[in-house]
Amino acid sequence: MGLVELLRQLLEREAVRQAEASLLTPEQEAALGTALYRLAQKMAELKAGFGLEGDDLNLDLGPLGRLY
Amino acid sequence: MTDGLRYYVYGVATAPAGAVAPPLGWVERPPLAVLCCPWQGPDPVVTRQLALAHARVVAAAAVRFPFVPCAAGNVVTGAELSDWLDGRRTPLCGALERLGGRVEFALKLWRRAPAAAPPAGGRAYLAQLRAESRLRAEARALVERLPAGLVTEVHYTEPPGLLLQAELLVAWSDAERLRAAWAEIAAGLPADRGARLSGPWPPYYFAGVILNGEAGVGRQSGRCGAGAGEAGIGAGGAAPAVAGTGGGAAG
Repeated sequence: MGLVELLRQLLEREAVRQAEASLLTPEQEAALGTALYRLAQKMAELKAGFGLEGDDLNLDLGPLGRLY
Repeated sequence: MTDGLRYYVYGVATAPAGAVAPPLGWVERPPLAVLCCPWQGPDPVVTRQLALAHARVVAAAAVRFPFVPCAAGNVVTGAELSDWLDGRRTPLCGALERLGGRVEFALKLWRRAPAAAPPAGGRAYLAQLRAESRLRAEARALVERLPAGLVTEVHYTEPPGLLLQAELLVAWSDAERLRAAWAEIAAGLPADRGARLSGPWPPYYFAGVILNGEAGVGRQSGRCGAGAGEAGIGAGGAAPAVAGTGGGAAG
């Protein structure tokens, strides 16, 4: 789940970067935003289901530092 | 150090190190020396009492000489200690160089706002993410307004629930200057933002960063100075307050 959370955060940052650079059409923004929102909701459900919170999904990425 | 004894470890300094009061002592493996005390009994449970006693010893050491603090609760054998020192000699020497005479602060910034309503569609969610990203950038810009040269290293993270957390490494002698500089910046924060600066602490965070070889440290100064201050170590019973440590008192 930590790995999925890492990928989710990376996807969100990349989506923000592309939106800020006006690289997305309104339709693409809508589709991407919907997918990311569903992913965020699903992760929240899974975390709640497993009783995870706060730092539980933090990852030590070695030379890259910690996820958060 | 293959004497079969076990040691409770506080941190690492350069050998030869200064005098400390028993049961504290040094296990030396030049050029390094480990501040520790003999330990008997089972591994310690890190209670609040033990953490505070550990912090007192570390704080007293860190003002007397360059010192790399270890987390509370580490008990090792002499052989394990030797292996660790031999294996980590270079990063430990580097950490002593960078952390000597320095303390760290933790700065947390957050937004006081009611929980966001569920977005009305994908574009709204993306707009929400963009707004959060801008707020984080603003928070980072605030930290970067601290006077140049005051913060020698900074490490940013974005934990859940916070806009930003910044770990700041500063010279011991600049601790009050940092507080004053941040107070001035914080006075201009918008009403919906919160911030808390805590410290100064012995540089536990940066010791971990350096010893784990993590990247992401922003600014970096040149050489570290030696530690300053006159506080003694061990006087006042700091070490005996570590539950069950030393002198045969362990349970």
